[in-house]
Amino acid sequence: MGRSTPKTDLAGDLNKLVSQNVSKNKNTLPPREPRAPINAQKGSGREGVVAGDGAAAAIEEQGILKSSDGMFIIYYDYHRHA
Amino acid sequence: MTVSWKFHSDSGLTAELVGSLAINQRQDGTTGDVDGVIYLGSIEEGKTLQADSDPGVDQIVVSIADSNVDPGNSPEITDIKLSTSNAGLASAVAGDPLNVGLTLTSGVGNKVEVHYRIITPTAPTGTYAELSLNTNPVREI
Repeated sequence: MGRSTPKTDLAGDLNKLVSQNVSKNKNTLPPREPRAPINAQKGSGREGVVAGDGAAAAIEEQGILKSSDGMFIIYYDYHRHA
Repeated sequence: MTVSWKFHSDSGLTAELVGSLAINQRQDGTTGDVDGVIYLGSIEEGKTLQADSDPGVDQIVVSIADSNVDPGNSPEITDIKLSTSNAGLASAVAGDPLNVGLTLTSGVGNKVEVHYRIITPTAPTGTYAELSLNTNPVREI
């Protein structure tokens, strides 16, 4: 009449659970880069504004090229009076 | 400082075009076409020139400007043809602007020839000083 108690290996099961849990929580992300010090992210407030590709900084001169006004002086019938 | 590219009267880019070019023609057209050439370039070293609107994509354009548009009474831009070669003047359309490139490089050897042809007069006898050449807005790098 005695109840039969199933034989269990409690210690073995516990180890099994712990090892499964550890493997689930394994972090597969690459290690973080160290965060820069806060002071390094702050500017002096006097930095110049640079265009996205930096091209604007290379422009030396801009303008429209012009010949002198009246570059073409046209004398019609110039030779008539020569 | 200004853009170092200039119009020059000589192929060696030593004489910047600061005066005027005198074109003598009989009003009745018997003189015929009058051809000439000026040079667009820079003697600076290591410079490039591009259109300001879209550098390296848009053309640098030389066009004729007229400060006194009065057809029949004074010369108009359609009295002048432009081309990068003398031979090209024959097929050039009078008054049309001239594309001279996407990027120009400084140096005498890289100058651009701007040939012009003054065609048969359409204005009365007289002396006119209203036509000149301009480029579109450009940037030098």
